[in-house]
Amino acid sequence: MIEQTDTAALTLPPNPARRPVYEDLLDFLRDPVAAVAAFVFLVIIMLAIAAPWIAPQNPYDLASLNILNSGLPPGSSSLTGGVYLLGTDSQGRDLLSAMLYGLGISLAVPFASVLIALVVGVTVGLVAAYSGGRLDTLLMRLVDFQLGFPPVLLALVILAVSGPGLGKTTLALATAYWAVFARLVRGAAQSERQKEYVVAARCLAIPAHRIMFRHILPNVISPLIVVGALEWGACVSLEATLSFLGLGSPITRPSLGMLIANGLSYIMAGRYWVSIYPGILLMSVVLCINILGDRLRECLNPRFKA
Amino acid sequence: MTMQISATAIVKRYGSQPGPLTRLAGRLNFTVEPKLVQALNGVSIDVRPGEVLGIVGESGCGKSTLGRVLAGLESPDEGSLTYEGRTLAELDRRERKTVQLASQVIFQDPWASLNPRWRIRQIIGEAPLVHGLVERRDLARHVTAMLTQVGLTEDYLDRFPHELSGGQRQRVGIARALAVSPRTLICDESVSALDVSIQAQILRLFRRLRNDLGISLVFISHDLSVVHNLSDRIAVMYLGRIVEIGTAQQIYEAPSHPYTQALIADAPRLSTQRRSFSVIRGELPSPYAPPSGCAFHTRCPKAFERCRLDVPATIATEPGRTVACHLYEEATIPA
Ligand SMILES: Nc1ncnc2c1ncn2[C@@H]1O[C@H](COP(=O)(O)OP(=O)(O)OP(=O)(O)O)[C@@H](O)[C@H]1O
Ligand SMILES: [Mg+2]
Repeated sequence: MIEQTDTAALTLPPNPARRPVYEDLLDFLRDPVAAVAAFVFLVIIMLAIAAPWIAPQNPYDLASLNILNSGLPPGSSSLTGGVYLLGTDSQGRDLLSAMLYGLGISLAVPFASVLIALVVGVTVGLVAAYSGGRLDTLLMRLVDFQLGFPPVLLALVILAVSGPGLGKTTLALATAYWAVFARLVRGAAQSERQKEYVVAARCLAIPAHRIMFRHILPNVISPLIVVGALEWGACVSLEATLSFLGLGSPITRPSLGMLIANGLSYIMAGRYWVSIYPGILLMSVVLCINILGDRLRECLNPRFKA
Repeated sequence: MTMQISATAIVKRYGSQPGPLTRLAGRLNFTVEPKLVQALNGVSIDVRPGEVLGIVGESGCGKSTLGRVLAGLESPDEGSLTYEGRTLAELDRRERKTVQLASQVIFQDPWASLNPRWRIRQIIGEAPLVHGLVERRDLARHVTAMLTQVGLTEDYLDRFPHELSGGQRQRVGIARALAVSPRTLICDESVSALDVSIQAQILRLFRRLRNDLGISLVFISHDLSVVHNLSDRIAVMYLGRIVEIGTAQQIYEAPSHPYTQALIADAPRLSTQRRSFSVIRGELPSPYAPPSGCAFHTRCPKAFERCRLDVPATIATEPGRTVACHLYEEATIPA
């Protein structure tokens, strides 16, 4: 047989142009509902960040409160001459200011919880899937046990024992949600682990932690982003529930949930605004996050693409 | 001669022993699927330095399992393995890593065998860097050298796997293995997924690597013609056992075992796409319930009483040639 070259016909294929990021973004916003939600959410985030500069009053500064201002309806003017756009609450606090500050807490505390839950859940899920055997069984029993409790119940019990506080709430929420991520990652990583590129890495004696976090993790990240977004929404509601029950944020730094609770007893007295406005804001936040999360799922999962 | 890899009486099982519930179901006369597969049932084989050892057999006979055991990806349940004459037990951690790196696998599926999120540069360069085989500043040069060795250029360094063709991807897989200077490449159906013309190129590449670098190749394939073309020696497997080993010429021109004879008789009609040697009379028995005695007796045209009862011993009929069949038991020569 004539030894032909084994490198015949190896012309390089043209480098396909990388799809620019803005195209993905345009694709994401093609859905009008998602576009509106994205806009509203952007405004909400900016309001939360800018709260200290745009709020008419610092609601944490107890010295600036005057009990004579309590329970004023929207649009009333204060003793000092300002206008309470959304009225005041029972302590004479400007409701708009309290909401702007509370918004930040309602977003940031759940966000931090989801991040912690992600880190813990991803680690547990990857270790379980990669090591298999007894450790896998043990970790997954723990996950099952955890998922057996409704998140509200678990967070309630933890906060009832530890007492309210922003840090404690964050940890309680993370405890209630990490198992979801662990199970998700474990499932995805298990099928990834069978693939030949992982077997090749094992054959090349690549250390286990590198295989888990550098080979497998990047390939299971997109479902995580979607679930992470949706869990953030769920977590915002749960934080509101806990604060509503007086277990979440401390009284001195009320989140939206606590503002709603504070106003509840005044609704019957006709002072609807103290509860309704924070309620509408909370609802918009959760709705936006859920719509955006669902849209993200559609965009990241090629099966949904038309 | 010290063998590159020497495997003795390897047994590998998959699945689990029936648990209490399954046993109870069996007692109550429900038909219970047996769950234990003996994927390798006492396999002994040597990989000699610089040789091409072909392994053929029907689907499910344990070829890939043998490949994974030889590559150190799975440990056998019984039997022993030595690498250049030394067992793993007598090695320390560093030496064990060296031994692990000495045998690399080239996979079947060029799509699944490269991490889709990594650039070619990272895919090939990771292992040498992690194991300190090259300095970081020399890495690009090392990776380029590996690419050149498999017939690619440095233009590929920053590509992603999805930007390459199947043949190019397979070359990257080979370059990744070569980057840790292995002594043995275990090629499990490494060309089966490729077009025939690309297959020929990759086979030439394998042959060149063996000639230039003195690497041993364990070449696993369904395709007898491909194996015959490339191999120095061929081992024929049937249901977890090796039934015959000989030089490519011996196996092809004068097959001893009735199973090998049937394979060779079929060979001219075998296309590269075919997944089994179906021309052999009868069905392949279930690996969950292999036949007694010689596992091939249910399909063997020359089977006699003894074949049903006793497992035939593996005997050397000529130097370098072994066969496991009762027909040859008288012909034994002293080893
Ligand atoms: N991880 C596993 N778990 C359970 N059973 C397995 C596993 N791997 C292989 N087996 C079984 O072991 C036997 C041998 O499988 P193996 O993959 O080695 O066959 P093969 O000769 O490579 O087949 P093919 O030519 O189809 O690739 C089969 O019966 C298979 O079902
Ligand atoms: Mg196989």
